[in-house]
Amino acid sequence: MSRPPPSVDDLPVHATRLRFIPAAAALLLALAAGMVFLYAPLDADQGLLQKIFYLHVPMAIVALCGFIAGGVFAVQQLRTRSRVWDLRSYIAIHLSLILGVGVLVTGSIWARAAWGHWWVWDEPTLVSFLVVFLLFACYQPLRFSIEDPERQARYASVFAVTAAAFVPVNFLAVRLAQGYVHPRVLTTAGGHMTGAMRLTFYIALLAMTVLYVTLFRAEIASKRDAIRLRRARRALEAAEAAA
Amino acid sequence: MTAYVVSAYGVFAGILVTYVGILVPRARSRRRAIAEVEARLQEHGE
Repeated sequence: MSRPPPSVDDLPVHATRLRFIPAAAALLLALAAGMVFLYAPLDADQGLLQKIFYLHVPMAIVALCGFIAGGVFAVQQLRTRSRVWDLRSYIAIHLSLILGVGVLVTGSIWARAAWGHWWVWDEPTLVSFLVVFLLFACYQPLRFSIEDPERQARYASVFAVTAAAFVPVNFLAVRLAQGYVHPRVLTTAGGHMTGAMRLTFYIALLAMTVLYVTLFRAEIASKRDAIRLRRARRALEAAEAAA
Repeated sequence: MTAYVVSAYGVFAGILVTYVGILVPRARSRRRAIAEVEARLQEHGE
């Protein structure tokens, strides 16, 4: 027998279960920062500037994975028609957009220092990330232009699934592009990183992932509270009208 | 180079602090409001 689709009441409550994850995120972020500046050696080619990559690349990877997660949750929403999956999809995309802003800004700062330009239009990695970012930036206006919650969830999910399909395409296009100048951090040969650099990079990636999960759960709990509050206010209005 | 590195990490810290600074007070006020409304609902129930 298949399980019924989850309801909004199944979403995690803020108080108890959330405490461990923010602590882990804070610890991992502190550990990553310590490793970046005190443990990882200076890059022979870029020097101190390479330290930006320990922030920029994990943010980009987590943002892109978040967009894909938003698409996967949207598929679940279309399958089950559950409000919970719609909320999860919305929050995954919302957080990825915020990380996306960070990716674009930190990338531009690095590009200014390394290439002398804030933005280079003929660089496939930059442009393809911008295209994905702008595509998902259309998600929220589309979502909030529809008032009916059922239609809103359905249309937003269809959009999220379609846009998420562009993420692997973006990744492949960049890998296949010839003549790029954007440095490769993760390659099958291990990139240009030494053991200490690679360890630092993976810790930074883990810290960013746990931070994303923390914020995701906190947002879910906040949305659940908003729904509970709305319901309680409606019940109070009905009780006051009946009295 | 140091200024670029500091700016990049500063941007990240700024985004994070702003986001958490909006999220946490909003969540707290919602929980307070829920407790208040539920208490009033209970008064009506009695």
